[in-house]
Amino acid sequence: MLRFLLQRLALIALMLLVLSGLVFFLVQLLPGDLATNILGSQATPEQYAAMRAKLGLDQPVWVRYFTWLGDFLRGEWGHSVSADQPVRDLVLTRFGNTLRLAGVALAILIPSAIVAGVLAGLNEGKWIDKIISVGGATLTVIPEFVSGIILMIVFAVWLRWFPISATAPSDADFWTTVRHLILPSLPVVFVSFGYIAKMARSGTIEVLEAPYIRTATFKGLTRRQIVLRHVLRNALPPTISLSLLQASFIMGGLVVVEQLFTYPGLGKLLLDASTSHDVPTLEAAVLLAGIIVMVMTLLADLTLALLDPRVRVGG
Amino acid sequence: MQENTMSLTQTPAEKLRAERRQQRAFLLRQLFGNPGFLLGAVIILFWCLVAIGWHLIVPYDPFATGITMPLGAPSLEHWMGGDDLGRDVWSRVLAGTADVLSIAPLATVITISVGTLIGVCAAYFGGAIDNLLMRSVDILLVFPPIIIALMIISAIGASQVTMIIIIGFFGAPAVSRTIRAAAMREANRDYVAAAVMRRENNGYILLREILPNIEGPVAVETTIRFGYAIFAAASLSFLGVSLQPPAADWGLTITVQRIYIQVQPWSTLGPALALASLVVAVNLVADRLRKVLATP
Repeated sequence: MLRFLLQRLALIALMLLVLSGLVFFLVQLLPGDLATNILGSQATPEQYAAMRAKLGLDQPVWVRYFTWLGDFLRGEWGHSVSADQPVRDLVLTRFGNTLRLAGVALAILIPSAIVAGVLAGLNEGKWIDKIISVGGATLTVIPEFVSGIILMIVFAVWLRWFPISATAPSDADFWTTVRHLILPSLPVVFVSFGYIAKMARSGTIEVLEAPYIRTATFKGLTRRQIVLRHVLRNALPPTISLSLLQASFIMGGLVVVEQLFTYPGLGKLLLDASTSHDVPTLEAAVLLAGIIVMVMTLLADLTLALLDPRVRVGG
Repeated sequence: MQENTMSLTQTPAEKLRAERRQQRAFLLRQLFGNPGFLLGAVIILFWCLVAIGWHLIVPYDPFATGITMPLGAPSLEHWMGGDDLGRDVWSRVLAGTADVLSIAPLATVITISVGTLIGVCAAYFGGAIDNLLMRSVDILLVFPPIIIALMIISAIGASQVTMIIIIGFFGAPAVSRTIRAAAMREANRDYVAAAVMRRENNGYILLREILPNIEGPVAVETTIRFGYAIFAAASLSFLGVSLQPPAADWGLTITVQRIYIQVQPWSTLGPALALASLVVAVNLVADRLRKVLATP
């Protein structure tokens, strides 16, 4: 197990290196030069050279890359030009907002998808299974901004059941804040619902075919007891682990949803930083998003390995 | 009895051809006999025809402003109403088809070619090559594609060609996994061993021996990836990094018009429903294809 953990950690380190390298070198391609941005076009060549030296721009690319990576790992993320505040404060505040939105999304997604999947698995082949399977597969393919705008028009503009804005007033209580976040979180839920329900469904069917379920039936347990004690206990853990693998989709979906609902989260920050060419903010936001997704993937791997020794041996 | 006489008069090659024809007819019956597949195929065909010939069927010029009241409500003449500049919403929905349907199919071609090539090579060569290719795929699959695509586009700029290439390459890792699994089953078969013993070169074995035997999974992947390509192209143009106004593209229109949803919801709802119908139709086709071709 320790070997497996170390292997995975090494893989994460490698991926972090690849991602940070990609981010750094792509940013080098952005038009505009930091020294010119700061000094303006009126500076003399000497001032310009001095500024470049001060910023370290006269160093070779790979030296700058490792300096930048070192700074990032130490938590020195630089200063945001467009927001005029330290990048770390900006990114972490926005990230807190995204966590709130993601929290609401996951709180809806995981229970509802698992209940639907188990229900479909228990009724394999019946109409309820068909509705859940076809419905889940259909929701998965609809882009978040399409379902988002339809939900917004139907439930916020026409029916007025939910507020149209995702941001609650700053003095709002917990439930008001949650109410504001329900509509934006649903598109993200839709995209991953089908996958998790499918996992829960096949897990349930697999467990139902296991010999110990027959034993439990012969022992005289009721169907309810069997489902609660045996089916759920064996089908749930792998489903939850596999749902962590959706982190990458959820993160991408959040960027789109935050833009649609103009919600000040990490995704919106990332998008704004990329259009306004705010380099330090963009780098920090992308790296943070990448790290979150990688950690989620690692967690999925580890929990799956804990649950199923076959993964460990193969790993 | 009839079959016997037929086989007496037929050469083996003719017989094989007749069998193939029968198989194909059976496959088509299996596909088009399914109402879901039929509906999906009709919707896709409709949007494809619109993409090609929208100039002929639009009731008004989709780019002409002041055709109707700005943000006018749906009426008999303008049944989806007007947008903020008084352009006819329905005409713009029809014209917007061309944008999404010019990027997605070409991106799908790239996705499938690159993904299939990687998958088949990994399965056939095995060992270190397989390991290297599949570990790279693992790493690529972890990165959130939208975010990386955003970075690349803001660094090198957006054009139709960059969009096609980016969306195309981003789909490839997932395809290569599925294709590798399918090609693995074929690579261990006797006919491949026979081809190796005939000293056929690797290119011949990959393209002429293995590839034709995995055309089922490739066909299924193609439809699935076509759906994802539409998803990605629409999302990126919604994020405003792809096409620029006054393009009638669905994703872009939703970005521009969404601030008016309280006054005139149809200028966003129109393109949104069009896009939803297209992706759902592609999914219906992919779903049935997967069942009929019996791929996992």
